[in-house]
Amino acid sequence: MGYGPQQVRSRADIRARGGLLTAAFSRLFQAVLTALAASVIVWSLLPLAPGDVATRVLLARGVNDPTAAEIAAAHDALGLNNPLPVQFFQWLGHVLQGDFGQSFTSQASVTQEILERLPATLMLLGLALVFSVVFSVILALLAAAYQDRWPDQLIRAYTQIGAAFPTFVFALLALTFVVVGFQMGQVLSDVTWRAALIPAFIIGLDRAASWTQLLRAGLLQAMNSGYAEVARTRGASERRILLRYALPNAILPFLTAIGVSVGALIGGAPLIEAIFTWPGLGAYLLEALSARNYPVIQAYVLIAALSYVTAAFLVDLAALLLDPRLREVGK
Amino acid sequence: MTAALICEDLSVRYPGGNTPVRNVSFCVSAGECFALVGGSGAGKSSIARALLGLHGAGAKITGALSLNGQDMSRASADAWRRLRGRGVGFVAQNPWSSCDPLRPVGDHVAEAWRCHGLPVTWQAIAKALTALDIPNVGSRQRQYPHTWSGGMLQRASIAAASALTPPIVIADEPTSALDADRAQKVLDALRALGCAVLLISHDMDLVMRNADRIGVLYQGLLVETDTPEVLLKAPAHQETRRLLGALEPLPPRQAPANPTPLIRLRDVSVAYKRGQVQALKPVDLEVGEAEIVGIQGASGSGKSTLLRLVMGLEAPSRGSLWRSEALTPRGALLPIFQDPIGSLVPHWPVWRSVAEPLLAKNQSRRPVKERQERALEALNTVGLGSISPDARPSELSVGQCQRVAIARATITQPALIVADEPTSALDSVSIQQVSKLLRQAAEKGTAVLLVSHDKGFLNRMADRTISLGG
Repeated sequence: MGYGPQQVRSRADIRARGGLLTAAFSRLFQAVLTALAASVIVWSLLPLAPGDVATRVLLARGVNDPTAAEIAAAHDALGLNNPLPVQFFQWLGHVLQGDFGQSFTSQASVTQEILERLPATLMLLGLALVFSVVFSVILALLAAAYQDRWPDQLIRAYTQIGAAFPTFVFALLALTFVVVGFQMGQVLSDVTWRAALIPAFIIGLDRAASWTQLLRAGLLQAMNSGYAEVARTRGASERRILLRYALPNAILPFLTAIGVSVGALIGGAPLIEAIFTWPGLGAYLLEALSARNYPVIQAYVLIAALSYVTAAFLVDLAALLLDPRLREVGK
Repeated sequence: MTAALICEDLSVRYPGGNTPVRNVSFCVSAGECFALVGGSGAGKSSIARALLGLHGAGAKITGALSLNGQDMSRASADAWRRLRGRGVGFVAQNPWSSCDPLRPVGDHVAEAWRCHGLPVTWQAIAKALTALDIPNVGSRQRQYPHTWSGGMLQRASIAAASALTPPIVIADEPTSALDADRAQKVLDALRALGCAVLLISHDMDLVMRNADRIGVLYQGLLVETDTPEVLLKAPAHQETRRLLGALEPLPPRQAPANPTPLIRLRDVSVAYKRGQVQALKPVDLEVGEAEIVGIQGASGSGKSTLLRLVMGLEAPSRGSLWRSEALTPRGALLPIFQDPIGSLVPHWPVWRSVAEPLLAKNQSRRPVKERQERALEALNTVGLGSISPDARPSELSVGQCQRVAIARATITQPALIVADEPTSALDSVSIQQVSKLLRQAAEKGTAVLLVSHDKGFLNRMADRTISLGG
């Protein structure tokens, strides 16, 4: 950390590093377990669905009045005669190879259809995530630095309103006044970064509201802590206390909140995409939902769940790197 | 020789009209150790904050204040900031909460320089830590605060506070998180710096042994200032006499010979998670009637587990545990806890808390009036006859709450009292009172099992002490 010869490693140091690795692997193991559990639930959507799966598949293929023999053949072909656990592992094997099966409606490969639309959604959500993190960190730092003065009061008003209204209110307002009124952006969007800017900004602004509240509270708590007070008695400036002491200590619960929200972000994407007619996965999913197109729903839910698990794992890793107390061996 | 600190007619007034410090005048010469003592609410910490310029924007400071010949009475916030660390150092009460938990200890010391934009080398940090008797500085400064012991971490805090060699260091209860041995080591380290020390403490024993002069604060006023010798010989103010009462030795005690045993543990150990976590290493313990037995051990040595075993809240993993019939009835074994306020029901009048064990004794429910009388009697015996029996715990001091807890634990004259760190939240005057009361309970035939991390306290109190290896 900026002093001391780096090559000298104490025993405690090595143990701390071992602790870090051990802890990271145990978090990874937990993440894989969670992903597996999620995939069981996602898979069970299909066998739990009302009606016979083989009949549905045949209907999707255009066989309107399947005979008993055709249904039996489809059962064989789809492996539906196997015990459920075997069916699950067959399905999982296909999924791991990137095969989510055939769409009930279009009969095209679900994977193919998703891959066509996924980049647009990832672009929008990624940009939205960057916006919301940047907004909330800047606003929370400003609010904490000017506690109870007008910048803080203004930011608090924004967080209250932002947390109280659903995202689509802002989206509608933005659509009406900014996009249509000022002729900015395109309502019928193409997938370009420029077109993604305004919807991402809206999602980011909405998400940032509650995150700003959380980070501001954490910052203020850290600025009143014992170590901040002692730093003051050493002659540290308020800016130094805010950035060097309060921010690293307050960022951990903030990161956790972000990790938890990633799943919600993906789950909420269809609504925003519908408002901005963004050609992402959203409309595709809504269509699949009304058509009970289970392979598509499964694929989407699994993507959302895996994104959540990945985000949670990354947050865990960040926490391990930040907080030495979490990488204690044997605790 | 210029004085390190001159404080004339200092008053601190908060916006609500609360005036915790009134017209306090004292000076600290270079190299002198001046102690400010007083009970809680006497204004000690308010003075410390004012002397660091950290009294908050709302507080109004009047009087003259000069540090190392520099008049700080009307100093700007920026002038104060430049002075802190360089002109006046500060050591806080709890060493762990003084350090940023996310950074190594070396970083904590380096901040002394970095806060003022000064360059710092790791040799300078190592030198500062070595000067305070911290071994293996090279590797130790890369460790995190939570892995350090309290005494050592407090010495590192002193190294940080004195890194820029300020002429005076203010230490606010620097040893209250430590036991007596470690406390003295920290004080020695503080004195060895050679700068003036303003020591704020409630520990009269420590102050008498270490301070050159002592100022006694009472309700925001400095009521008496003199050397320890003079104060000890001729205390002028009642508050001084009250504080000095903590130094009186406990009356001599005759341990009971061949007491009837109440509980016996042979080679008892406790392990969790299929033996992976050893909560308590094998231990032998026997407590007889009217005995005071101490259990000493560092945190994590299994003290609390042992107490739960004795109270029957947990079963041993190995070894044998025998309890006498005398412990069978409900209310025959009562606990006293570390946190006095938390151990009382907040919305109950204290008499109700005190009388509660009377209901638990499998006896027919006595009328309220009788229970109230018994509670009043019990409060009288712990010296709380003057408080209202209808007071709520929040209206009492911590020390008074612990005496209420003792009244509750003794009201049924139980066979055994189990006390878990009963004095660690108390000031020295209250410690003295609680010690006497526990002794009295033992005189009346109640055995006391006393758990503490403080060896000195157990040596004074207990007939014998067993140590739990860490």
